Amino acid sequence: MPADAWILLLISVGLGLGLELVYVRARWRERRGGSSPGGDERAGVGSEEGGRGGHRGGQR
Amino acid sequence: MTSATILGVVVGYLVILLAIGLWGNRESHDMAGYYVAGKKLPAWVIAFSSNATGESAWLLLGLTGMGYAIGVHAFWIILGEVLGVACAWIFVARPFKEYTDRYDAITVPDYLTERFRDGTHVFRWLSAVILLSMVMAYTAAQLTASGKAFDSFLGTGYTAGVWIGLAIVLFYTTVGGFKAVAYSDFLQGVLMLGCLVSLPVVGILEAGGWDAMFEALRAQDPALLEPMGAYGLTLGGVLSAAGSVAIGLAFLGSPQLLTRFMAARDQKQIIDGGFWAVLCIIGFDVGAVFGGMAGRTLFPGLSDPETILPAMSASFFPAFFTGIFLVVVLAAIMSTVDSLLILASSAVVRDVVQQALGYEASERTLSNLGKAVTVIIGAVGLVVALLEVRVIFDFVLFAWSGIACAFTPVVLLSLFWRRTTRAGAVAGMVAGFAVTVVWVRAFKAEFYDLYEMIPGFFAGLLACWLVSLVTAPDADAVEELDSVRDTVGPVF
Repeated sequence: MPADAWILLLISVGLGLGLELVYVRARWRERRGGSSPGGDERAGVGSEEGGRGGHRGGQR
Repeated sequence: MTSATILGVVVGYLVILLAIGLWGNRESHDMAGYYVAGKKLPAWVIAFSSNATGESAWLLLGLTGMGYAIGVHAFWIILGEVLGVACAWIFVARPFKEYTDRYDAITVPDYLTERFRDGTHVFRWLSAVILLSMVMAYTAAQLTASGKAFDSFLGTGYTAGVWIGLAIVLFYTTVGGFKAVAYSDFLQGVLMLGCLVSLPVVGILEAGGWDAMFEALRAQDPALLEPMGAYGLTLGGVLSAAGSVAIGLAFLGSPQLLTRFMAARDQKQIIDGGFWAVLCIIGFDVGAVFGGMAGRTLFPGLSDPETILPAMSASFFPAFFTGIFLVVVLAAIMSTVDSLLILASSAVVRDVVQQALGYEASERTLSNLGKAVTVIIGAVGLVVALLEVRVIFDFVLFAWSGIACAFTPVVLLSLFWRRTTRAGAVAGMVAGFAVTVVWVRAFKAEFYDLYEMIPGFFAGLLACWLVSLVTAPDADAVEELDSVRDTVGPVF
């Protein structure tokens, strides 16, 4: 395969995958640091906790 | 083509779908259960389910056909889709999930109504009109594909194939609700991934190896190895590449995909699911493009490039795997149809009947109404598919991009721009949808077939931005956006 096609393929796969890996690493550090990611483990309707209901929640 | 083995594989697959429908039944007796599986789905299900829904039969027949027809120029589609999926999971999913949990929202119009403090239900009516019209057309087209697939692989006849496809989808969708839809999509996504990973491996081996394949492609047409394709580095080439990349925009805000984020059990599922979703889309797209390229060396001169996958599966795989490939084509069709049916049903029952018209009934009654509406929408799709109503099929040309352009720009601005207003959002939805339709009808052919997602998306973005600038945002909503941002935290 020509070099320019290789470069396009590597960018096509690598850009999205690289972003995702950096993101996962940031979340992993966040967890190790003890602060859970925002909204973590909070469930919405139908969960055991029921709907959280924000400032306008529970209207329905 | 018909053999007992292929028939056995297809029947086995359909039985599994019916079983999934029955298994999901327990959760589908209220609105949240029927439309978002009670918001209890794990990471791996939402990851595969969103990709299976986002791709349809286009991935298996269309993208392999693109690899066959244009070679490495199709890599631009991989770039757009991988980037689109990654950005959706990284930037969109968590704030959207946080908002929709705060609102107890179970539909995207629910979210828009609450986000913009809309008391007029304009988002619900607008969404219902766009979704119903587009979903009916798209469902009819997919049912047509289902009829052809059953007929060509099993010799059932077109009409029987349409009926069988719809009956199976309607059964597990209405009986099992969104839980059955999501888990069947998961199964379908895994099957699609398995086939698209094995297809190029077998194809390249049959072509004599990696180098031999590229030599054969070069001998057929040197443009197949050019990133800018036959256009070269011209305006046409750039617009073609840009249109391919723009395919990925749909992943950022199409309601049928956002529903998966809403249905996640919690934020952790979204963080974990993103990685699997990105790997899955890479496997899908790279496999499809390379499978098509290998197929070009093995079956040069096909009159229809989109038949390369069936041709390869019938020639190089034993009957059992040919059956699996048929199942995968059906899976791609069904995983899209089921999600669109349930999406349109939610727009009618939840958004219009319950919220806009204020119809009061028990959760069970509303859930049953949702199931009835799902059947009605499917039945309309069936009639259109059987009668081949031309005017409806014209809608299919812009059904997918029309839905994406109506919602994506507005959803993105509503999540990230504090100044976004209700009037701006309405303008963005109307402009995004209208420009998509007009572009396909009047301008596309004149502008190098530029994919309508580009003008549609940017028209929606521009209209939403401009109208928001001249109207005042709700102070509460601005404060809330800051609060959501604080709760979700920084991305990196």
